[in-house]
Amino acid sequence: MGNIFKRSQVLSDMKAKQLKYEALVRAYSTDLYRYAYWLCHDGSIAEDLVQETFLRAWRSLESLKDQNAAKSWLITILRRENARRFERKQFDLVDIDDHKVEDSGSVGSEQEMENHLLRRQIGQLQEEYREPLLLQVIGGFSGDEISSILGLNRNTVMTRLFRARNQLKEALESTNQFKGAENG
Amino acid sequence: MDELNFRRRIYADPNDSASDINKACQEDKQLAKFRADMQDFDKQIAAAMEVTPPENLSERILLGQTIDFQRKQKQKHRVHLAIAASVAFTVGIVFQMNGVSPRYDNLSDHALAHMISEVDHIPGTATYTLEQLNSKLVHFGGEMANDIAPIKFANFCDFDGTTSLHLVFQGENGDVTVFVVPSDSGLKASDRFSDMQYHGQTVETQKASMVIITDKKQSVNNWTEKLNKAIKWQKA
Repeated sequence: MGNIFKRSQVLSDMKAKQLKYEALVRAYSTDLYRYAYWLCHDGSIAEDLVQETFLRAWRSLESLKDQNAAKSWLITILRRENARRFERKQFDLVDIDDHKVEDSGSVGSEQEMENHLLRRQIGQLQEEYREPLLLQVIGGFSGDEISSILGLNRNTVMTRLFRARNQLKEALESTNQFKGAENG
Repeated sequence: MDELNFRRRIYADPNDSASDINKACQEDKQLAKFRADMQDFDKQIAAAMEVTPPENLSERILLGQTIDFQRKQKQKHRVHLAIAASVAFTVGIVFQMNGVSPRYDNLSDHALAHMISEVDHIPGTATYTLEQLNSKLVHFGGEMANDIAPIKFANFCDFDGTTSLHLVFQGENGDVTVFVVPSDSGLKASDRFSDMQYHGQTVETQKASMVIITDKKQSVNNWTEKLNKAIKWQKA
């Protein structure tokens, strides 16, 4: 009897773990993919990174005690995987234009243009500026959370966020000005 | 809050809604507009970052995990098997070294052990014919001329690595076991032997040793005599 109980306990623990895991995958795989994509600029590498991240997450799911911390936990795993990738091999950066990016459908052509320019600029941001921005915009993390994920102090993070947006805005404005000058 | 500081904070986080930021916005419409513009800009950034993930990404991840899990289970299973095998192997080696494992260098001891271990496999009725017995005995250079008793068992067996013949006759007072073991088995034959329950005798022929075992209620001598008379052994 005891054995049967123990076995069914083990089975239901397994089932609970599987359910928890599936919920994580469904909730965060898209955000993780986007984050990975902007780290490596390559769709298939991004998918590999996400796959590997979730495999590692499965293997150490027991260490995730706080459900609310799941996203930053996954991001941390993904960042580690990405760093490992660079240890193995330095990949050539791929031009961002070679890869499909979400088409928002209803956006007008001018906005589409801007979108395109923005993507370009995001791709060209230095990584130290880009990563906090990704964490804030895709991840929805606060300054404190970003500083703990990146292991930086909060002031540094806020400065980098300021510079990231500043650079994007300037780049966009200068293109618009250039466009304006051309038109005028 | 001075304007520069305000702008820096909004650039760093357009959705900053700390009380001093809110207050500044209420007091200065320009600042409020600046924040609203930056929030729009942030929506643009978010839209630009929206890369479409591959189709069925979640399912692919879950599939990858299932495959990985199954592979791990298999590996675990294999490791367990390997551990079990190596433990069994070690136990075997230790027993061999300590001589715990039953190993006999003596024909009669081996015959006794073999007989006892096989007792349960001997059929209750005697169904073997003299021809069947002779077809096997001929390999050891012998031929039984006439029936001496019903034959319950007549088969080759492994006698400490040597192919031998295992015979069981149904005597009037119980079974009689006879082993015919090739002379080159390397096992030393002792003429007479016994344990608590059984006694036996070994007869050397040209090509083989014949070990005869009965329980102590019967005379092993009588059986040896009967067998010697009935079996003709080839001359070398």
